[in-house]
Amino acid sequence: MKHLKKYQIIVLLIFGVSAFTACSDDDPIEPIPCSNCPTNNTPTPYSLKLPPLFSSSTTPLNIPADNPLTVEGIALGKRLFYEKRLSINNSISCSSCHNPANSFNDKGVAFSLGAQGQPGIINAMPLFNLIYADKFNWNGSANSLEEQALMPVAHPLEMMETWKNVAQKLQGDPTYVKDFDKAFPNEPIDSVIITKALAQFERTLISGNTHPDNEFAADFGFPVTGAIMTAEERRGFEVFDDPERGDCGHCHGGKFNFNWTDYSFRNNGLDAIPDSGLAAVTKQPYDIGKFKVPSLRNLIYTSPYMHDGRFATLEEVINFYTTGVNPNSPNISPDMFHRTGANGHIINLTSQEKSDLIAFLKALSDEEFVTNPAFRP
Amino acid sequence: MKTIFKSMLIIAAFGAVTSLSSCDDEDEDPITPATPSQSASIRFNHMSGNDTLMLNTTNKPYTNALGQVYNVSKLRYLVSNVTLHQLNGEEIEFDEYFFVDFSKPETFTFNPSKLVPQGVYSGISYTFGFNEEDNTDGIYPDLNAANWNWPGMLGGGYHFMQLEGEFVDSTNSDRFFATHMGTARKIDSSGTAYVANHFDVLIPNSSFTVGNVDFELEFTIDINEWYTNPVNWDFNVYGPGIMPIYDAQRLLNTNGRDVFTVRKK
Repeated sequence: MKHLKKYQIIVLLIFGVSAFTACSDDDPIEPIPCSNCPTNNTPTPYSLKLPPLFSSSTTPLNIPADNPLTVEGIALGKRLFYEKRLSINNSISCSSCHNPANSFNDKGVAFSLGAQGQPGIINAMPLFNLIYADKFNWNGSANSLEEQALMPVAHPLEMMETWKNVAQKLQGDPTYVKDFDKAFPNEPIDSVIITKALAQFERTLISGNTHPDNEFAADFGFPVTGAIMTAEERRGFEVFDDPERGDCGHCHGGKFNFNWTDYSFRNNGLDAIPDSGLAAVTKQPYDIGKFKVPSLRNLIYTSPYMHDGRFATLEEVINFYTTGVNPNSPNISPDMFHRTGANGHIINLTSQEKSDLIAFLKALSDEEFVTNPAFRP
Repeated sequence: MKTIFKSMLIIAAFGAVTSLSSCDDEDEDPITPATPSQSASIRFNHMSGNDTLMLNTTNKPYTNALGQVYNVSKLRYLVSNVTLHQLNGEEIEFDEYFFVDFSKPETFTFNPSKLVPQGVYSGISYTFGFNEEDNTDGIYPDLNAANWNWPGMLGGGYHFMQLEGEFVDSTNSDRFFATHMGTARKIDSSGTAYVANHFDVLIPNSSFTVGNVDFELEFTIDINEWYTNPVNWDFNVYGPGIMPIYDAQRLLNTNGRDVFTVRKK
């Protein structure tokens, strides 16, 4: 609101000056150099390129009206994403826990380390296709990417810095002043603008080039643009989709849902006494133990698995879902019980079915995404 | 129903041309004066017997016909081809589906663009789920994003309903049920067949008159009716895991025909 007023005044000033100069054609006024002059930068609108399968969908892209994608905003967001001055001792950046080579995740680490080497308490999530999501973090504590980006800077287990300090550090760097002015002309450098830029960059992180993407896009009539699934991966998808074997689809979708999640919050039965999860946000007892259903993309880059990183391998994950689910976990999703059949018996997967299923899950990994130079500093 | 999806594609491809030609049509083909029409809104209301349905209750406030007590943690369902039948035989069909998620009140109300002519109507019919033509794999992006698809090996298409909760079983323990409905797969000695499992119902006592004001049609679903009339449903037998069970799927088809009542408001 304050920004808006300031902006309006500046716009009025610009109009006033231009109206004046327009009348005095004979005597052009030389611009006087100053540090706080309003600038006439206009950010360039950016049009996001989507993979064929994605572009066929009318699933809405979550781009806030007050933060449209711009070339300059995305570039600034990328610079900030790799900026260690966001942390208290200039030691870590967003990319420290969200490494592009690992699908923007901290591979091999259950709990990432904060600015002073202290471990966190929840597994860093990978970052891709977030433009389709409307709740963020494992417990849904953020309603937008802008809101999410506010959190790690001041978090006592993460960057431990104040937003005031971050703003001051960046305001003191003329190269940043220039970049901010290009992306958000005549706006103060503060947490609002910094998180807007970060969110813009994150919205460009689109991952959609895998064997299943290529194969399923062909089913929609798109030309085949890359390798499709192997026989093993295809068998694995059958296990995935079969309600009497994997029954993965109730939570993770299938060939028609390229997000490989419905973005719901569920308790999958990990523990007899589960972590609070969504209930930490909603304060509702029926939300205890519910965590965001993660996408299944890029799993080969994002181990360990689950919100607390308890499973090191996909084999462990599959074994959990076949025989390790705790049916008495409070608020467990009834969808966990389809595979038990009418008689209540556990349906085990054969070792062949397990290895096929894992082959399929790994096939949802996108090498182009993790090597994309556009996402690197 | 499917035509609306197709026409959306056509509009996307030929938007400018379509709008141009529609102007021409107006000029060249004057339309005969239409009967005055009104806007209708469709609203869904949820009950279990005489009780207003609530989600995630800690107790089990509802009782099915067999006396089994239960609560509800999820209810999503899909209704299509809602059609208003005029006394003169004309039909007004809303060319859209209504996908209701009981956890999201914003999905309870729909405002179809099609106007309803004033006059006397003998009744209202609907399809629960999608008929065979509309139940086509993957063609509805919003339903895809909601994981509403029905598995390919059970015949594909979409779910028609997901009704989930907990009941007290025959050993007095809490157990889950997940009444998911869609295409019924039948496997017997002659092989595998996929039986369309939607049903079309002309709702009893649904006659009404449209005057010169806009109006609302309130559909009320009584979820207990899934579990009785004519056959009492036993959660101990059909709890979760009923999607591949042909008899369970067909029983929902039989029992479901009286789940909705409707009234004009």
